[in-house]
Amino acid sequence: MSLEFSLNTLGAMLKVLPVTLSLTALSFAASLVLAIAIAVIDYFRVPVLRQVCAVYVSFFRGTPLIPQLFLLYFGIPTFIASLRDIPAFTVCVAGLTLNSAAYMKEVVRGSLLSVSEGQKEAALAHGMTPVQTMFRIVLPQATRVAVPSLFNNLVDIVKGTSMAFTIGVIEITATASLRASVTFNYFEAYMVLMLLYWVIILILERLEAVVEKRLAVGYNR
Amino acid sequence: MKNVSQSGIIDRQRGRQMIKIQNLHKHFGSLEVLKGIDLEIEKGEVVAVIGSSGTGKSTLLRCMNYLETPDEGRITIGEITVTAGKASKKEIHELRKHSAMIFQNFNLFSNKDVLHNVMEPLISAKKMKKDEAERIAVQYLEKVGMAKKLTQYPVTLSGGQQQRVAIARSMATEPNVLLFDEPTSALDPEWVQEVLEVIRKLARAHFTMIIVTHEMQFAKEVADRVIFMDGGRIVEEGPAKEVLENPKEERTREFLKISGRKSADGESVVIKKSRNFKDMLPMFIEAGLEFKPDDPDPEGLLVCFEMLDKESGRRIGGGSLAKAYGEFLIRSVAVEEAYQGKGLGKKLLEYMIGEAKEWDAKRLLLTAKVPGFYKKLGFEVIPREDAPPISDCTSCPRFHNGCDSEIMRLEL
Ligand SMILES: Nc1ncnc2c1ncn2[C@@H]1O[C@H](COP(=O)(O)OP(=O)(O)O)[C@@H](O)[C@H]1O
Ligand SMILES: [Mg+2]
Repeated sequence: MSLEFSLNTLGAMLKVLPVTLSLTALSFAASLVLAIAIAVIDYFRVPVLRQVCAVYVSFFRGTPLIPQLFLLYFGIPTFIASLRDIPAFTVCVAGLTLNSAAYMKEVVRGSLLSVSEGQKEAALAHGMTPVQTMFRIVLPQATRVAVPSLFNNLVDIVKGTSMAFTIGVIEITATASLRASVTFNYFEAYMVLMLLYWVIILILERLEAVVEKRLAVGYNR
Repeated sequence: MKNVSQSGIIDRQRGRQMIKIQNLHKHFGSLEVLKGIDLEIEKGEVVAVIGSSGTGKSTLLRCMNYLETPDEGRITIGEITVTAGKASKKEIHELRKHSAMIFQNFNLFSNKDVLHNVMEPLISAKKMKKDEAERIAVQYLEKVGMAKKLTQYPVTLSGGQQQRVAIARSMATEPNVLLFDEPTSALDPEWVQEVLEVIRKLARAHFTMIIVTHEMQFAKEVADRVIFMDGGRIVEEGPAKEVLENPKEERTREFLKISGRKSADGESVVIKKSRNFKDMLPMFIEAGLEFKPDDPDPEGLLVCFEMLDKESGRRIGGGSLAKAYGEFLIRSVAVEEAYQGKGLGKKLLEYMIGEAKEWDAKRLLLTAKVPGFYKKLGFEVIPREDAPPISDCTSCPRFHNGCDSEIMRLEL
């Protein structure tokens, strides 16, 4: 065990930690928006779009993340030349977004359905439009229901960002494996890497507890 | 039809047609639920809709605000008319703004506190500014006695309180008509009365209302007109008293007979403890006790007992327990005339004696005009000189209920 190597590796990883974190944040935000959009399309039974979304969801849930990233990064630009110059980071955000939105859509849909029919009827029966009902009554309540599962999706995205190195994004996993293969200190490199992921996720879990507590206001006696 | 009102403006507007329903039909799959409903309602009219369950009462109300889409017919509320099959989204939205519905299960918005439940439709549907919406919301919450709970969330409220907030929410939008779908059916018996009382107040103020209800007594009391529905049709309609007391149709008679069968006995009442002596005063006065409507609570009042009819939630009797001058006193026991002779008085008194024991009472005193009833429960008449100097009566300073009553005692 080399403590010096471990500390050096940790230092190098912390330098690229912003890459991992921004991949996570951007992918999560984008997939949340996409998931809500698909769930709302589903909820209002918008013709055509609904079927298109269903195929997309099924396809991205039915295939692994790495081939999805490869298809986006290497495959598609062979047909569309203008996509060739898009940086790997951006493609990675797109891949993670498409992948996790396919899962999050189910979470969002379930949470929308968890809001009682009666409350929606009450909103309509007092002259609110379906869109107002959605944004002012349904979504706020659905958020509370969705939050625990969405944090699971967020954790999956954090771990999913480790796939970014396969298309050449230098984030923490890439840094660890580069250093390990140069010095053969595999144990230290991957142990430090895993501990770093663990700490990130522990912090997210604390955050979740805080968010859930704030959202619970009014729902408990 | 009642035509008394404090406000001349309302009177002038009354009698104008507010709602017109023509030939309304509704199917669910192959089930024909509404088979051609025709109905006209005037401004300020209170209409009760009665009938067995499954006859389409809720569906009728829900078609009026397009929570269900009717197959055929025309609905007019105020100045807007919507024809089934030809209604645009905009027309439906417009129609909905002309009514407001009070549901069996209240359906308050659980992400909003009391104040914001009432403000929400004002802000989103009526496009009011926040401060104006708040002012109006508070004003209507005051009318239903919920203005003290503005920041509470629905889960923290009793069913009765939730329903009162729901009524305030509906009233605040100032709709042309209030649609009540069995507003007390989901309530525990002890909360029914407070909700009915709010609706009674609305009836007195001549809000236009359609009330689907199983409370026949209540319907008789507040409705101008009663509609009896059966099998998706209006079978009989007319002035409330006429339909409920002298129905013309055989089916109406049959229905009323069945729904009246469950009359009160020991099993069908509950006793609720409270401190609402003031609320019970009218009942005591009605029962012949010597009170005036603005009398203060009895001296040393510990607890009131309200006897409620389980079915309707109506207060049909009550009494109170007080402690003054070191003595425990049972005061003002009464049971409504229609409910007498069923052992309810005995049930009430036994309950009160039990409660007195809980307070560690060694003996109980009361006054009675008919001592025989209390003697059966173990009370004995004692001389006035032995009684404590407390008075129910304004004319003489004695513990009595009218000068011709006996003072009685029970050792516990
Ligand atoms: N959404 C629905 N889908 C199918 N059937 C329904 C629906 N709503 C009500 N019904 C049926 O329509 C009939 C009338 O129901 P309803 O109007 O609720 O009666 P009521 O309020 O008089 O008890 C019942 O047989 C009921 O089962
Ligand atoms: Mg019903």
